[in-house]
Amino acid sequence: MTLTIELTPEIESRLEAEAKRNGMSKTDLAKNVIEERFAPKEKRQNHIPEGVKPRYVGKAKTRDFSGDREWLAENRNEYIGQHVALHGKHLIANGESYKEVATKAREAGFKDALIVFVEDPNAPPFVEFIS
Amino acid sequence: MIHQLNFQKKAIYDSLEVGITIETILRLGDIETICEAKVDTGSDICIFKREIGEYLEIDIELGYKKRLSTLAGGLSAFGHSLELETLGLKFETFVYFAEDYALDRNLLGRQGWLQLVKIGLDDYKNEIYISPQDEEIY
Repeated sequence: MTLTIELTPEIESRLEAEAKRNGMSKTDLAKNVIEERFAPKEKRQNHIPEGVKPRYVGKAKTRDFSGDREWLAENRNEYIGQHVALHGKHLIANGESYKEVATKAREAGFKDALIVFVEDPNAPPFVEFIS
Repeated sequence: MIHQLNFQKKAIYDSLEVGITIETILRLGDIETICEAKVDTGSDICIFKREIGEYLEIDIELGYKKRLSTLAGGLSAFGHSLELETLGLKFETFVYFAEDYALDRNLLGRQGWLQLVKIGLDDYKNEIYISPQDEEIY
């Protein structure tokens, strides 16, 4: 079967860039995407490479995060859009980037700080599916 | 007919957070970090912010590349094996890190997490129940 598809210039340019990055033609990339999307369920691609077998290892003792949550409930509005490193009811570090904040917390001796990106509670509702 | 499920653990999640959010520990070698991730039964995989992978000193682009689709469009991500801990249960698993820095939420999806556990949710009470899959209940 041969299909002719009209693409917007924006989509065509994204398709071209992705095909180039993968070292394949635009047609082959489009064919792969369609085949993967409509393959029978049992033939759908596994998203984990062959040979990798995720498994349960055992129980772990995790610290109590109730203090961290209390701090967030009380201070969330002051840190919207930032990453914060918390330990119990204490703010260890805050900043724009996860890496920067986690590094500051580790250097301050808090390897088990909880790093949170503080979202705006008034932002539009969250909807997400990834496949 | 009534069906009964039993779980090893019960936890309360924060009702003020967006989505069902649980503390998640990612560990690779000697480095570990504790972040938050959303339970997302609609997601085929687990995906985390690129910066978290970088903090764990992972060379992101050396991973297993996947093009992913979302409700808001597509994104590329790279898969890596590591240790993941949620609600007191530890797994050796495979998660993805976004290629771009724009991803602002971490998601716990089916492959790599949900398929390793059995969960129950009471969203009205903000309660999550969890056990490892096929594990005896003590």
